[in-house]
Amino acid sequence: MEFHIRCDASEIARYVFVPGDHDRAKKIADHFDNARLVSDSRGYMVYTGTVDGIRMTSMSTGMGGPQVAIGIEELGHMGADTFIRVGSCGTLQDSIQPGDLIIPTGVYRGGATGDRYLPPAFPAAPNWAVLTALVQASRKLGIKAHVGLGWSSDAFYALPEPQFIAKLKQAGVLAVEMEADTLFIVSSFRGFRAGAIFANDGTATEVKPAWAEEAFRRGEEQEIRIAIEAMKSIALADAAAR
Amino acid sequence: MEFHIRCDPKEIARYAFVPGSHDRARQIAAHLENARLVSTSRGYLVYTGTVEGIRMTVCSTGMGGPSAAIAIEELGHMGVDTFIRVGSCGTYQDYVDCGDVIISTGVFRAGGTANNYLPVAFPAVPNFDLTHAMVEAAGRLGIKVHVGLGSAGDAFYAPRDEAQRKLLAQAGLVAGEMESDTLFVIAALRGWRAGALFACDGTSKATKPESGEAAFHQGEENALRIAIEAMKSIALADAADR
Repeated sequence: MEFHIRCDASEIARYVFVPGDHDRAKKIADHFDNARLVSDSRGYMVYTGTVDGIRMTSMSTGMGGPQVAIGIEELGHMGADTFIRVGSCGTLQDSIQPGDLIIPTGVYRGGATGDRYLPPAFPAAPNWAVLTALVQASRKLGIKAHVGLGWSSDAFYALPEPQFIAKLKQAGVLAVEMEADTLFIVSSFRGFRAGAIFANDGTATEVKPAWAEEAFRRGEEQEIRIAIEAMKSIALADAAAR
Repeated sequence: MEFHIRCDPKEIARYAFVPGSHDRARQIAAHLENARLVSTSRGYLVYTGTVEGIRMTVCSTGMGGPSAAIAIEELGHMGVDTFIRVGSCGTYQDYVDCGDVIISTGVFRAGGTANNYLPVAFPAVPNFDLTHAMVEAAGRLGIKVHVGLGSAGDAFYAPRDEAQRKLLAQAGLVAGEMESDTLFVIAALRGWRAGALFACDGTSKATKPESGEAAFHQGEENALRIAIEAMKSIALADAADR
């Protein structure tokens, strides 16, 4: 048995959603048929069920790189090889509103966990098949999503230099969050497929304002639908390729 | 007038192909209608012509980041906002053969030029729409491609760090070349769209073997056909957006 995710390996599906938030893990599992809580040790809430007969797992990673790395490594040991992070984020861009969705094509490696695997020069980018499945799922469902860069950081409450933030804003960085760098780097290193989608809960000038909560929650529900639709299409393509 | 590319800005199109090689610039220009050589200064061979009525420019960047950076900055000053690098590359992977075409989804930043623009943790990734257009174009043309990560470095003949090479191969890098890191990072900072594809001229064991030359030239022709087809579809989408 794994050190931190305590369940039988047979209870983990190949296809896994990895939100940071416990509540979101449960919300994703609510879309499954016959979802079952298969582990809740170390704060990893792990649910497995099916969507149109395809087995899928939803697991909360908690916040930050170290927990993401342990989470997906152990899921990988148990047979998972395809991950979609269904996250929340803030934004650097004035044009992005609370509730807007962002699908990252690459993220700035502000976190340090990925550095233990591959040097910072290695691009933290999603798997192409997962990225395109997410974009296509959003179009199929008629839900608008921004497609562009993100910035993953280790320190929610730290104060980065305003000049540095301005530079990333100029370079088109849309989303700010805390886990995608680690997910993409560990996945590249291990040969897993990974992608991500975020629902924005702020504005370029406000962190999680209370007035944005309702729009964010709508975005969260939409990103879950997109992620599930994308995962279905990946699983169907895998089955067809066999 | 620009410092190095010496021509009237009116002679430069919005859409530009940026191969490293002069010969390849000529080869791409041969696919344009009414192609005209508009500048030859500093070794940048610049041609402008049309494809089905859409104006396109080709500019050889020479080899390496410094020369590529100057070329795309000056092309940008003259109105280019969409770049496709049509390059050659070697490979890290045994499954890639001479003549195979690789579409980049991100690149390891082994080059130094881009560090003057954005820190090394910034992801060197291409624009999604452009990359997607190339993958779709390859499909329409019936040309098989690999889609994935690469590395770009400054020093073709420097001693190889075999341990790093092994690590990067394990992490799935497909292509090795010298310019796309600079292209992707500068394009991000300037708000331009950039993509890249490469024809492979070697194998994971052999650098530019003579036995692979015929296959490479076929791959080069395939790569530039994909690039032109993709650029056309981007230009048509731009026109429909207006």
